[in-house]
Amino acid sequence: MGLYTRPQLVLVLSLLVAAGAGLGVVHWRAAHPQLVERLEGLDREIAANGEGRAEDREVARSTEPTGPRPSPRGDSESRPGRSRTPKRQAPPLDPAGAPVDLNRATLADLMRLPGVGPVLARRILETRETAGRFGAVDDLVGVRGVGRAKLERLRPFIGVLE
Amino acid sequence: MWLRMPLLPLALAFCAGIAVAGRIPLVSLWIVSLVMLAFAALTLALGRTIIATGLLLLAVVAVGALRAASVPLAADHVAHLTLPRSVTLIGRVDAEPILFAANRRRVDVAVESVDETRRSGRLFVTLYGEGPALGEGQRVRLEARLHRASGFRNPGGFDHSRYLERQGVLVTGSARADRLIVLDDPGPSWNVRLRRGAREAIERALPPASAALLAGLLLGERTALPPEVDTAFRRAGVYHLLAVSGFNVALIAGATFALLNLVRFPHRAAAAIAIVVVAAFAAVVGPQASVLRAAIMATLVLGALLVEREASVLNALALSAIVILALRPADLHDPGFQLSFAATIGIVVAPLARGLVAGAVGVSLAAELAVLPVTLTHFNQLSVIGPLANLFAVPLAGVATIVGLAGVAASWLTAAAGDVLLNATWPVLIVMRVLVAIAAAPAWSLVHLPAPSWPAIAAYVTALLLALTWWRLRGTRPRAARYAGALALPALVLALAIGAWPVVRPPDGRLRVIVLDVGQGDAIVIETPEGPTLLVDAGGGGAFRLDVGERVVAPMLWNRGTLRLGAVVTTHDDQDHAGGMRAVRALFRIGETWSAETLRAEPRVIGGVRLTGMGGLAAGPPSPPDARSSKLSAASRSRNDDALVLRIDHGLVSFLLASDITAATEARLLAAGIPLRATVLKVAHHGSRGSSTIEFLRAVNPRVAVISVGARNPYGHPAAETLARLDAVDAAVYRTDRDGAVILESDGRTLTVTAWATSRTAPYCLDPETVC
Repeated sequence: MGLYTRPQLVLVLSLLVAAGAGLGVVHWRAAHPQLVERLEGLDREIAANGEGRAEDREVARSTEPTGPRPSPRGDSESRPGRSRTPKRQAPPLDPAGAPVDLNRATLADLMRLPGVGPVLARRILETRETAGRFGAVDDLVGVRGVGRAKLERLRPFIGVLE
Repeated sequence: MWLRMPLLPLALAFCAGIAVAGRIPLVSLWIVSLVMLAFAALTLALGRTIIATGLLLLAVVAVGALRAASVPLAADHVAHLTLPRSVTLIGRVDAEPILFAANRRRVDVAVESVDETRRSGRLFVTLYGEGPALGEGQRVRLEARLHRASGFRNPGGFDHSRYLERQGVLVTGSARADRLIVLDDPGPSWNVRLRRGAREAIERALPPASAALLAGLLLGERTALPPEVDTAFRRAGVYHLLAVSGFNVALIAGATFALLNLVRFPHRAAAAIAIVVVAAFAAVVGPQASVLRAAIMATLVLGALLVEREASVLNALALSAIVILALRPADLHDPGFQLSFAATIGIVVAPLARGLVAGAVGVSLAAELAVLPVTLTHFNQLSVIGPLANLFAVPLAGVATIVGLAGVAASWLTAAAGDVLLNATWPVLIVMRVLVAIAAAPAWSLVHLPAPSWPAIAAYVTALLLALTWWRLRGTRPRAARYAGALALPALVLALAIGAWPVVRPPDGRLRVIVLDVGQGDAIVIETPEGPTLLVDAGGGGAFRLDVGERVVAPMLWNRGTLRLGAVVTTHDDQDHAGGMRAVRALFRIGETWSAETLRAEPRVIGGVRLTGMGGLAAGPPSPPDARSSKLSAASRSRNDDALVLRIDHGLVSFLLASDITAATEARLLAAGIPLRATVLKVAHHGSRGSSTIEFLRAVNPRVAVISVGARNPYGHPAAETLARLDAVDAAVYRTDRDGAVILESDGRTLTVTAWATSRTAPYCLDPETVC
């Protein structure tokens, strides 16, 4: 004959597990703000990459690059989300317009390129920072995630200016 | 018995966890809670409920400690700024501002940005001067000087910075009120509007002092209360009436319920409405622990009526403790929380006496016995007259509360009706104030004692529990009851012995000179080798600032077991030296009061040390009368020049306490050829550049120099030149603004200096033959 009955103990146990888990998350989040931000934007990143791949396929079929059409998730994307992941809100690029200078482009500039999502754009910036300026457009192949096909698709929009 | 209050062990375990938080590393807490929960699940699955109970209670302790553990600060928290600095700050006012004085307010600000960069965190900003009216919810822009939260650091003193830290305030600021701009004002919420409306109605109907008292009784607002009334209520032991507590909530719930029953409302509907009224009242008067506790308990008791079951009061108490501490774990250390719960436990578990008067005395006594460790720990107070004073004060407060609340409610309908009812409380308030003043008048009505140590509290609580056990079991199990009763007495004696030890312990033959951290000012306690304690100056004080005598010097002395002062002396009449002396005189029995003149006239020997007074006008040839009458001279010749310089000799060690003397007095002392050489110099005038000439310092040739100076003082003390001169004579410098209180301890042959804030101790050898 103890202090509590079994159902009471089960209730206390589950409350404690929930409280412990919650406290753990609170401490962990405060200690790793960057990682939290990463995880917050994870779904959007995946979605953005998926979109990029889908465009890859479409563009491969068409003969002329038309630039990204309005995204099917355009509405949901433009909603003021909590994520700090940059959003695709800039207008699509016109291939006849001025090319994007790989050595000066910002994250937002790169993300306006067809098939370049936040992950790839960030990777390009990182390569520029670590390995130095791009000598030519073809150097982009060195960036993980850019193959020959992607380079050819990007070529009308990009350049390396002096 | 336990089955009727299942939440009690959980609440106790949770409290224990919060109490140990910060002493156990986070990692081990996580391991303990994980392991305990896993094993609890396992044993539960195996059907071993008793083992599972123990494991789960341990897990509750660990989770409580985790809840109270400080979360790492956010990257943009204001505490990460390099401080002190002046900034432009935008934030939201988080609570109704607290009025310290007519031109000094403290505002609780939730920070939004600092210098146009996003920042988070919470700040206490003190606003000086006239400025816009402020209220909860406003978004404001202010130009503030930010600094780390700090307080005076003294042995046995109140740790203000820890108190702020528990509330999540790591940074404080000061700002001019006239430079504050209210950016947007969403208007007060309904509860704030109701509270303000009630206060206005009360202030309209009654004269100021009575209005302030009624506002205290109804709303727990004490800021407008005249200091004498405040002190009288404290001394009489009825101060709890001025905080909203179970008393008010019970009255409101009871009155609502009774009224609705009278007009033939069904029981359940009446209980439900009473719950709503209680919740609204709690929202209006604010979020203090005592209000929350009372509201939660009232809700549970009324809820039990609603579902027609019997409520266990202790269980309700345990639930309210869990809820409050889960929301604000820091409240466990809050005196308000401790008083509220201790008093309630005392009243609930104590045996009830028969008869109205005996019952009232019993309740009053039970509450007093239960809160005694709390009031002694936080306020050094034992109210002797409390149980008696409560007998008449509580019923009067009850009448005033009921009628007053009715008056406030009526004033929403028509101001005239409200006025009539509020005026009906006036005679009650007057009678109450007079009786409280009579109860507070005798010197013995309130006794100040040292804060008890943990063993003393533990022994005391054990004694109370054993006595209670004896009472409960004396009819059913007389043998066990006798054992409990027989053990209760020695436990009580033990508690008294441990508690009284600091007061009765014999002197240890060592001289201690303690230069207290009192901000900008001087207060020096001298504990002589043979017992008597002397006080030289008592820091700043007075009505419109922090009274150092009452808030710093007195608690420090009490907690060191000093209830009587051998002698006090004020070196000169400046506010920062003499201000706190009034409170010290009121709070201590004082053997002798020395004036500067008597000390200069002849040296004294007291408690095994020799005191010599010098300085002032008698220190040298008097200046020509015409020079003194000239305007310039009169202006420059301040009271500082007349300040008493005190020399203390004990064996090989000597102290020169230079008060606030200036270069002129130093020159006169040198010219008079008085022996000045001393081991320790209390540097003159907080290290101002106009004192401590190099000639004087060479003559004193101190091994240790102590500067009593306030952090961030507006005078720029201590001056860089003075510090350089002290360095030139090779003195080890201690400063109260950095080191907290400086404790200089000596047996006559060696000197040990302890900086209280850092607990660093340094020995100084005075006798070449002694090894130290």
